[in-house]
Amino acid sequence: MFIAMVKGTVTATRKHPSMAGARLLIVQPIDPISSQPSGFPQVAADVLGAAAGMRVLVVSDGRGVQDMLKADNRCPVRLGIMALIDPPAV
Amino acid sequence: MYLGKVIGRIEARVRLPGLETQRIVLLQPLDFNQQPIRWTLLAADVTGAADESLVLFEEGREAANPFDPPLPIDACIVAIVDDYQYQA
Amino acid sequence: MIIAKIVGTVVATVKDAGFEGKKLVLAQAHVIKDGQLVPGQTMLVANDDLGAGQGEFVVLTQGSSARMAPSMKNTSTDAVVIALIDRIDASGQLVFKRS
Repeated sequence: MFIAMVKGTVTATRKHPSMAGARLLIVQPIDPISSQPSGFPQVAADVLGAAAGMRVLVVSDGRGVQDMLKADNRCPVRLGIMALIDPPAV
Repeated sequence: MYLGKVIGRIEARVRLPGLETQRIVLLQPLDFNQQPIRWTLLAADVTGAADESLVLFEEGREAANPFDPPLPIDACIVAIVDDYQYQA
Repeated sequence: MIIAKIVGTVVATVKDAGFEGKKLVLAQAHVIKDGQLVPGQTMLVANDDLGAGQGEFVVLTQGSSARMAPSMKNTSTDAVVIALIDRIDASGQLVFKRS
């Protein structure tokens, strides 16, 4: 799993049916220590209500995403948001 | 999933069994400023994406999941992008 | 998948049982850059059941998806030729046609 910053949302009417109930969020992987961007932004499925500016935990395995979406094994999605990371304590 | 654009297609008469009618398109991966990233690749398509469409594609073993019986596919277009909001 | 050019064959007598009777080719990845078909950065060895010949352009599938090919069920491969390319069009231009 990796940590990413939510940078936006994607809308897609025509898509694989397994993604019907999910929001599609643009996530920028970041270095967990420095918070600097690391690699290219990608799109992950979300059912937790993540929003732009939040740090999230992203799993990159289809099996986990299928469980999250309550989808069968025909679901092709690989990235799913598994947790919203708490803001630093003040 | 990555953002990409359909930039072309291939023709291939000789294929492994099961792939005879599978559409395979040429994709240019993009960042969300729509600048090219990575290298071009080939992908199967389950959405009917037209040339120049902005799409989301998936890679890896998961890209084979929509196909039953399974096919040797490692990249697949899974959504056609209508719109997106992005703040770098 | 990637576009690859067959640049050689690999011959091995001692091999895993799943590779018995299986042809192996050396393939160079190709990409479309500025409207041209050009060599990419990777060279890899792949299984080929379609009889791809020297210099031919093929479609290559990599990773565990490669074993989804019916003939690869018992072969511990991670790259397989899935099609022989006749023609490639990019941005409305013909970039390759089999001669």
